[in-house]
Amino acid sequence: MKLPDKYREFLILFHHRNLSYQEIMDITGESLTIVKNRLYRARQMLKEELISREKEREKYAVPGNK
Amino acid sequence: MQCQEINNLVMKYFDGNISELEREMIIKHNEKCNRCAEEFGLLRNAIDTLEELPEIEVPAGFESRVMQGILSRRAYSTNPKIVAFWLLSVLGLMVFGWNMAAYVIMPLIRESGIIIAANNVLLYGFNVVSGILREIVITASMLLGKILVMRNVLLRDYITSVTLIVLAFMAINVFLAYRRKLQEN
Repeated sequence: MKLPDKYREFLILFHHRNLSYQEIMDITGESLTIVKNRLYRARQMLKEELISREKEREKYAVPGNK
Repeated sequence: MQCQEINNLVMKYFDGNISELEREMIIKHNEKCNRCAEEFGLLRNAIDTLEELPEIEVPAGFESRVMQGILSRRAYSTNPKIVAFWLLSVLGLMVFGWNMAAYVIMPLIRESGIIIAANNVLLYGFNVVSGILREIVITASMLLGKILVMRNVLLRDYITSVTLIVLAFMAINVFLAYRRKLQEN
């Protein structure tokens, strides 16, 4: 999976580095709306990616074996 | 529609500014809605994992090496602007060389060599009997003097023009280097 850099960056700053909105705005130089929007989009994309993976796994899983 | 509202609440949940009431709304909805529950679980697992990942420190000197790599690659890049600059330089030198050949070197040969030599031959022919040696000496010295005068004038012009052109190229290079430095900063 590969989120586009501009979304991944915000996910990492917020959830991994535990930075606040204000700190992310300072680092990236983006406005509050953009920070919020990117985070929202990033999570949505992450979720969609995870769901599609899950479906993929169910498709190829052999039921009842082992 | 309900699921969309819950999705927005879930986003607020991960932002960390969610009220107790809203949190309960999510839980209640997830008890009824399998799809939302599954999605929520997946996303929470991923984000929890992300939050627990160890922070990786960049090794010392990493940044300078990256910058060096970028700079060295840029030095050999086929940036169209730089290629155009070199093409223009070479073209300018070729035009300059052609002009030098056409207006300085060829006239020098023509003026100093063939015409005066032909004149000398004529003079020599007319004066075969009376003063071969004297005429030769006089014309030769005149020729030499003319050549020397002409050469000095031409040499001076040549040096002036070459100096001007070299200065112009230096100025262009300095300007480009300065501008590139500005762009880099």
